[in-house]
Amino acid sequence: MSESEATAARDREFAVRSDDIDDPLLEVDGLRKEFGGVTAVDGASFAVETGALTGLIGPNGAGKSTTFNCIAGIHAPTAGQVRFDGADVTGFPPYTLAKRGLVRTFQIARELSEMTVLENVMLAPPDQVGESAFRAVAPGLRAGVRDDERDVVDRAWETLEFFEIDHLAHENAGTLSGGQRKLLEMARVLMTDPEMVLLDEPLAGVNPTLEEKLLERIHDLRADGLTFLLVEHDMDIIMNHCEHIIVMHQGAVLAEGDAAAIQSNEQVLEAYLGGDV
Amino acid sequence: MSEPTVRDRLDELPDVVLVGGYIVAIWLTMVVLARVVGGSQWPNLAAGFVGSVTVLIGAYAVLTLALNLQWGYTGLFNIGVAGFMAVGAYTMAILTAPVDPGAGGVPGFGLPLVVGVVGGMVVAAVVGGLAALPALRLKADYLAIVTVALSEIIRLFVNWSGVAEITLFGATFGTGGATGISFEAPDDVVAGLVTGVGSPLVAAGEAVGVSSPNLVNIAYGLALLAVVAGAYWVLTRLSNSPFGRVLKAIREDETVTQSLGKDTRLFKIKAFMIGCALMGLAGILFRGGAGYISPAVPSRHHVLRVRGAHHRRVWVEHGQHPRGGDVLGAALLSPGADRREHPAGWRRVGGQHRRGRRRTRLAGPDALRRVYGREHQHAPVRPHRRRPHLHHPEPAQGAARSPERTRSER
Amino acid sequence: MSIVDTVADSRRLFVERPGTAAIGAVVGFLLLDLVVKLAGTSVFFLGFKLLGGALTVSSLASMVLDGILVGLAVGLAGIGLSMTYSILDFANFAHGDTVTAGAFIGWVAAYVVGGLGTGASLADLFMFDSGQQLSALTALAPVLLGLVVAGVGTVAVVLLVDRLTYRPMRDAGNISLLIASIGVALAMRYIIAFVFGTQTSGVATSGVQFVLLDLAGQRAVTITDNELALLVVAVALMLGVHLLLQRTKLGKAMRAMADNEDLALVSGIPTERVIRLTWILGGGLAGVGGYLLVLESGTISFNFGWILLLLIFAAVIVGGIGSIYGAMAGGVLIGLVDSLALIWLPSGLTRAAAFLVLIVVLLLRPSGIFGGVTTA
Repeated sequence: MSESEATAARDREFAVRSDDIDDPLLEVDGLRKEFGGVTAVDGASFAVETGALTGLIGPNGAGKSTTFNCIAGIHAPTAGQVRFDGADVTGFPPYTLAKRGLVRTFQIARELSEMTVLENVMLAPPDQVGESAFRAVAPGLRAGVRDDERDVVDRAWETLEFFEIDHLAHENAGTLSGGQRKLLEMARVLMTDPEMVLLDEPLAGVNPTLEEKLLERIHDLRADGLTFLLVEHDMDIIMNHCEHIIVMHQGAVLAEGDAAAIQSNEQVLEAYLGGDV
Repeated sequence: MSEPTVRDRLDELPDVVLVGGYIVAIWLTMVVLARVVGGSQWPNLAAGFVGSVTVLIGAYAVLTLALNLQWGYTGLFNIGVAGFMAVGAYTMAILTAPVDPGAGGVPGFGLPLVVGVVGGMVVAAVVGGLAALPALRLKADYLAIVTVALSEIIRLFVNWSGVAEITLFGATFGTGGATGISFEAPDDVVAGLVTGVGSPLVAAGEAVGVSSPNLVNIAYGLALLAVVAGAYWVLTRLSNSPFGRVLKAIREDETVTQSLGKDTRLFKIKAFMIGCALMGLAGILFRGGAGYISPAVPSRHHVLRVRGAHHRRVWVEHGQHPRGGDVLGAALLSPGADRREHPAGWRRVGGQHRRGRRRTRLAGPDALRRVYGREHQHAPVRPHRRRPHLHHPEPAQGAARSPERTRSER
Repeated sequence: MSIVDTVADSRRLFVERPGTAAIGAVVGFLLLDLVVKLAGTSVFFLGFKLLGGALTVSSLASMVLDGILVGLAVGLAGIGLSMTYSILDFANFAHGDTVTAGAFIGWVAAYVVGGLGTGASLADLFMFDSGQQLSALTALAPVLLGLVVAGVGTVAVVLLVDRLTYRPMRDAGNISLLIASIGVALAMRYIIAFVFGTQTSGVATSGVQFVLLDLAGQRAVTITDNELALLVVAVALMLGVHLLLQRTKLGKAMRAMADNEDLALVSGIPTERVIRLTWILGGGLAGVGGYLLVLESGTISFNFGWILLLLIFAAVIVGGIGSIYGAMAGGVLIGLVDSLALIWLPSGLTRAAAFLVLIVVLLLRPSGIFGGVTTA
C-alpha cells in the first residue's frame, strides 16, 4: 500500500468515525510511540463511544499493546493526544487515570499473590479513609476508618459474589487458577468505581465455561453503563460481542466499523492473510 | 501427620508471650552468668548485665521495627540507618543542650526533653523524605547506595568544624564538631526519677549490693522496652489499616497498585519517613542510654544482622505478624552484641565507670567514624530471596520502573 | 544563532530539564568564581563577598594533578566494580575491602623483600614495623614485586570469596547478593585488622621530586617518583584492559554478557568462565589500584578501602554502570571533584562533594554520564 493510499484510507475512516460516534468517552488522536529507532505506533487515531463495548484487534506487531500501554499511562507517547471524558490525559500516570475512572487489566493476570482474594479486592476502592497513615494510627480517629472499612468489606463481598469467587475470599490469591485470577482482576478493577475499563486479552488462557461467565459479566456491566475497550486475539469473540471494532495494522488504524463492515473489508483481510502476518 | 516440633509450638504462641518469654530467658541467663563469674558481688554484676542487655534490646528493636517498615513492608532498602540515627540524636542534642553550657561546652536551645525527642524524630523524617523523594524512581540497590552516601555526608557534616558552633539570628548553637555536645539525656531523667521518687528502691537495692547506677540502667532499659511496645503498637495498627494494605500491595506489585489508582510514590515516601523518624528515635534513645566510655552510634551492620535474624523467620515462614519477629531478632542478638561492644567491659558493667556522670556526651567524629569501622564477627547474612515481582517475566511492564525507561523518554 | 534563539533555547532548557539547568548554573557559577579567584580579586554584592578570593595557578595545577592521580587509582578499582555490577548484577560492597586486601598483600611482599638484609626481624617487616619507607626510585625491585604480588594475591582472594560466597547464590536476587557482599566486606576488613591491627602505618615515601611547572613567585608544581609510578602503571593497565576487551574473544564475550546476559547465554558464551574472568580482572585491578594508592599516599590502614568505596561507587555510577571506559573516566572525574572541591569548600567537607556528585548523577542521569550508549 502506497503512502497516498494509506492517507486516503485514513481519511475515509475519519469520516466513518465522526458519523458513528456521537459521544466519545475516550479519544486517541495521532498517537505515536517510538522505542529507540523503532516506531511501534505510527499516528493511530480512534474514539470509543460511551457505554459501548469496543474491540481493538490487529495482527501481531500491529501496535495494539503499545497503544494500550500509552492510553493506560505505562508509556508516555512520543507524540499525539489521549483524551478521556473530554480532558487531555496524555502521559498521565496510571493512578491519576484510575482516579478519573479509566482503569486497566493485565494480559497476564497480576494478582497480589501473598494477599488474600478479599484483600486484593479491598485494596482497590479509591480514597479510603484509612489510607492516611495518621488517621490509621491516631487513637480517636480510628472510628471513621472502621466505618469506612466496613463499607469496603461489604462492597468487596458483593463484588466477589457477582463474579462467583466469594468462596475463595480467604485464600491467598496466588493459589487461584488462571481463570479465577482473571475474574479476580475484573473484580478488583470494578472496585475502583471506573467509568471505563481497558481489558488486555481478558480471555486468554481461560477455559470455555469461565469465558462464558466473564463475557456475561462484561455485558451485565455494560448494561449498567460501563464502557469497555477490549484487546483480543480471538476473532470470534470480537466479532460476536463488540458493536464497534477497530483494526490496527503497522502502528496505525486500518479500518473501523461494526463486525459486518470489518468482515467485508478487503484491507483487513489482506492484513491478516497476506504478507507479514 | 508428624508430631508438631518445638518450633511449631513456639510459633503458635502470641508474639507478646514469645518475645516477653525470650527477654526473660535472656535476663535469667545473664543472672546465672553473673552468679558464676561474679563471686560475692554477683547481684550487682547481674543487675549490670541485665540493665545493659535490656537497653540494647530496646534500641535494636526500635531500629529493626523501623527497617521492617521500610524494607519488609515497602521494599525500600535503607542501609544509611546510622545517618538517620545521627540526625535524630544531634537534633535532640542541639534542641535540649543548655543555652549557657559553661566553659568549653556548645550552647543549644535549652528546650524541654520532649521537644527534643519529637524534634529529632521530625527532622530525621524530613531528611529521610528528602532522600527518598527523588531516589524512589531508582532501583532498590541504587537507593541503598544513596542512603549510604547520605549517611556519610551527614557524618562529614556533623564533624565539620564550620558547624561546631554557629550563630544564626542571634541564637548560638552547633554540633560541637569533633568534641560533640553535652545535653540532658533521657536516661538522666530516668536517673532523676529513680534516685528521687524511687529512693526506697535504691535503698533496697543497695541493701542487696546493687549499685544505684545499675538500678538506673535497668529502669532505663525497661523504659526503652515500653517505647518498643509503643512503636510495635503503632506499626501494628498501621499495617492492619488500609494504609498497610497499600504498602503490602506495593511490595508485591507496584505497577498493579498504581493501576488501581494508588499514588504509590506518596505511600512509599510516607512509609520511608515514618521509618526514618523511628530510626531518629532509636538514635536518641541509644545515645541516651550510652554511658559508655567511648560512645558510638551503632553501626548499620548491627542492624543488618538483626534484620537478618528477623528476615529468616518472617520471610521464610510468612508469619502473619512479622513485627514480633523483629523484636525477637533484636533480643536474640543483643547478648552477643553487648559482649562484643565492650570487649573489656565486664568490669565496667559492674558500675565503677559510671560514677559522677551527669550528662551524656554525644558521639564526636571518632565515635561516628566507627559507624564504618567496628568489630563484627558474625557471618554474612544470607536472607531469603524476596520480591519476585522485580523479575517479572513481562518486559513491557517491568520496564516501567527501570531507569532505562526514564532514559528513553528523555 | 541570534541572541533571541539563544534566550529561547535556554528558556526551553529551564522548562524541560530544570535539574540539568540548575546543575549547569551551579557549575557556571563555580567556574566564574574560579576565574575571579585566579585573577586574585573578589566581587562584592551588597557587602557580601560573592565571588573570588586568592588562588594561584600553581596550587590549582597541584590540585588537578592530585585529582588525576587519585582518580586513576579509583578508576582502576572502579573497573572491577563496574564489571561485577553489570555481569553479576549486584552492587559489591566488598570491593573497597578487596582494594585494602590487595594493598596489604602487595605491601607485605614489597616491605619484606625491601627490608631483607637490613637486619630488621621478619616479624617487624611483616607488620610494617621496621621504620623503613620505600620509594619507587630507590627500591624499584621490591616495589615492582609488590605490584605483581598485589595483583595476583587479590585475584586469589576474590576467587576464593566467589567460590565460598557468591557462587552458591548465583540465582539469588541482587539485594541478597548485596547483603552478602557487606558480610564479605566485614569479614575481610576484620581479618586484616586482626592480623595487622587498626593503626595507620607509614610504608612509602617519595624518593625524588620532579618539577613540572615553576612559576615565578609561586610554589613549584612537582610530581614524585611514586606518583609517577602510579600514573604510568595505571595508564598502562587501562590500555591493557582496552586491548583485552577489544581484541580478545573473552573480552568480547564479557562485553556481550554485560550487555545482555540472557542473549549471551543463548549464543553459547561460557557464563562461569566469563564470571571467573570478571573476578580475575576486576579483583586484580582493584588490588593493584589499592597498592598504588598506598604508594602515592605513603600510609596504609585496615579500612582505607572501605572509606574509598563510596568514591569508587561514585566513579562507576557517574561513568555508567557496566561501562568500563566510563569507570575509568568517572574515576578521574570523581578524583578531580574530590580534589578541586577544596577551592570552594572547607577541607572537612570536600569528600561530601564527591558523594553529592554521586547522588546528583543518580537522580538526573541514572544511566551515568557516559553510560547508556554502548558497553565497554
